[in-house]
Amino acid sequence: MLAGLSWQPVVAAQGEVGTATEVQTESSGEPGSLNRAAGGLERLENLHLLSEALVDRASSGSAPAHEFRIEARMYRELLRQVMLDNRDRAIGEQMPQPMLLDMVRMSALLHSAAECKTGRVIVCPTDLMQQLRSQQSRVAQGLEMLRMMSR
Amino acid sequence: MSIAWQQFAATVWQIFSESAFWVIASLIIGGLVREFLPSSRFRELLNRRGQGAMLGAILFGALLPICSCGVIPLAISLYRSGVRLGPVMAFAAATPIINPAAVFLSLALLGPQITVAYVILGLTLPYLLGIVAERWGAPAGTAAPTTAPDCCGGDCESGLSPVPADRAMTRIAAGLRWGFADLGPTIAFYMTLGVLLAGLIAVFLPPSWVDSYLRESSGTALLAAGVLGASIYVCAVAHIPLVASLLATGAAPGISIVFLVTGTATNLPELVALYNTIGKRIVVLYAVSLIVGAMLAGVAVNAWLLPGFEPVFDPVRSLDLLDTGERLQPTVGVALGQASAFGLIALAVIGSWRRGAAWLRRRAVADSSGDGCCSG
Repeated sequence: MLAGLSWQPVVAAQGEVGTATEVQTESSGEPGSLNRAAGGLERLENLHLLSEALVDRASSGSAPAHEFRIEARMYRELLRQVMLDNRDRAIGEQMPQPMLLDMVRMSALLHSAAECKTGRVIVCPTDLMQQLRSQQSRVAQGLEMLRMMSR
Repeated sequence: MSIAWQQFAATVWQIFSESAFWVIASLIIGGLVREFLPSSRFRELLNRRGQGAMLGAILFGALLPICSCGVIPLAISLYRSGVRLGPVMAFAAATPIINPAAVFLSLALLGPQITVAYVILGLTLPYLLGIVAERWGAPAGTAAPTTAPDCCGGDCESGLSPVPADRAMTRIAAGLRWGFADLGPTIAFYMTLGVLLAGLIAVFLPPSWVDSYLRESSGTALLAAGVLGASIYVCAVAHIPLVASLLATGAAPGISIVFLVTGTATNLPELVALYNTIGKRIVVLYAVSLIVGAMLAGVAVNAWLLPGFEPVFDPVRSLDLLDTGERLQPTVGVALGQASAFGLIALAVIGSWRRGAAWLRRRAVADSSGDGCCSG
C-alpha cells in the first residue's frame, strides 16, 4: 500500500534526520520547473492513494488502531513536506492552495478517524465515514483538474 | 445480528469508551469537591454575589479538556456542595464548548473569522445560560443546598452519611465513597439511558440529514442544526474537522457554529442525567436557551460573513496549528479507556439494581397498604 511513498521526508520533517532543505533538494532534484511541478503532482497522487487506502480500512471496521494512527501521521508528514516544497516554488509553478487545503482537511479527518477506537480496531461513526468519503472524492476531483492542467 | 445493530453496539461502546475516563475522573474530583468545598473559602468565592463567580466558572471550564458527559458529575457535585445554580450551569456549558485544543483546531480548519465567532460564543453563551439558570432555573421557594446532602436528589438508596472527619485521608476516602457509591451509580444509570438513545439516533438518523441541513442558511435549517447538534453526541475536537469539511463544500458559517456549539454543549446522556439529578425545569431552560442563543448567534454570523465567505489559510500553518491542537488534547490509552468504560458500566448496573429494588419495595408497600385498605 505504501509503495511509491518515501519515509525519508517523514523522518526529516520530524527533525530526526536531516533538514527540510536537504529533503527538498533531494525530492526536487529533477531539472526544470515542469519536472518539479510534475513531481509535486505525482507526490500528491501518492498521498491520495494512501488516504484512499486509509478510508477503505476505516470503513472495514477491522483496521488495527495503532497502524492506522501511524499511517495517518505519515500522511500528514508527507503532506507537510510537499507543502514546504511547494512554498519554495515560483508563484506560477505552485500547487493551487484549495487543493492543498482539501488535503489538510483530509489529514484532519484521518486523525479524527484514528481516534475512533473500539477496542484495538478503528470503527468510525457514520457521519465521519461519510465526510471521509466525500472529502476523498473532492481531493480526487482536484487532482483530476490538476492532471488536465499539467498536460 | 444486522449491520444496524452492530453499528449501534459499536456507537454505544465508542461513546462509553470515549467519555468514561473523564466521567470517572470527574467522579473522583466531584467526591473531593463535595467533601472539601463546603468547608473551604473557595465555595464562598463561587457564591459571591455579582458576576465574578460566573466568569471564574466559565474561564475554569474553558481550560478543562472534558466533554459534556465528563462534566456531569463535577457539575452535580458543585451544585450539591452548595454552589449557586448560575455558576454551576455556566461551568457545565463552558467546559465542553470550548477548550484550548478546540480553539487551535478551529483556527487551523475553520479560519480566523469563525474561530473568533466560536470563542466569543463559547464564552458568552455559558454566561447567558448561567444568568437564565440563576433567575428562572430553581423551582420557586427553593435554593441550592447550602450543605452537602446525604444523597443525590433522592435517587440514592445506599444511605451513606458524610463522615465528620478531621483527618485528610479519612475525608478523601469519604469523598471517594460518596463519588462512587452514591453519585456514581445514579449518574451512570441515567447516562447509560442517554447513551443508548444517542446510539439509536446516531445509527438510525440518515447521515445525509446532517449534511443537507448544514448546507442551508434558512431559519428552519438553523433550528434543525441546533436540535440535531443537541441530540447527537458531538465532541468539539473530533467534530471540528467534520464541520470544516462541510464548510468547504458550501455550508453556511452560521449553521456550522450552531451545530458545533449546541452539539458540544449538550447531548442526550448529559440532558437525561441532569434532568434526573438537578431538575426538570433547569434542563428544559438550559436546552431551550442554548438552542435559541446559538440560533441567534448563527443568524448574526451569517449576516457578518455571507455572502462570499472565503476563509484565508496558509496550508503549512494550518498543519502546524492542527499539530498544536492535537497535542493539547490529552489522549487516554486504549486499556485505560476500556477499563473506565467497564467501570462505568458496572456503576450503571449497580444504579439499575438499586432503582429496581427501590421500585419493588414501593410496589410491595403499595400492595400491602392496598390489602389493608380493602381487607375489611
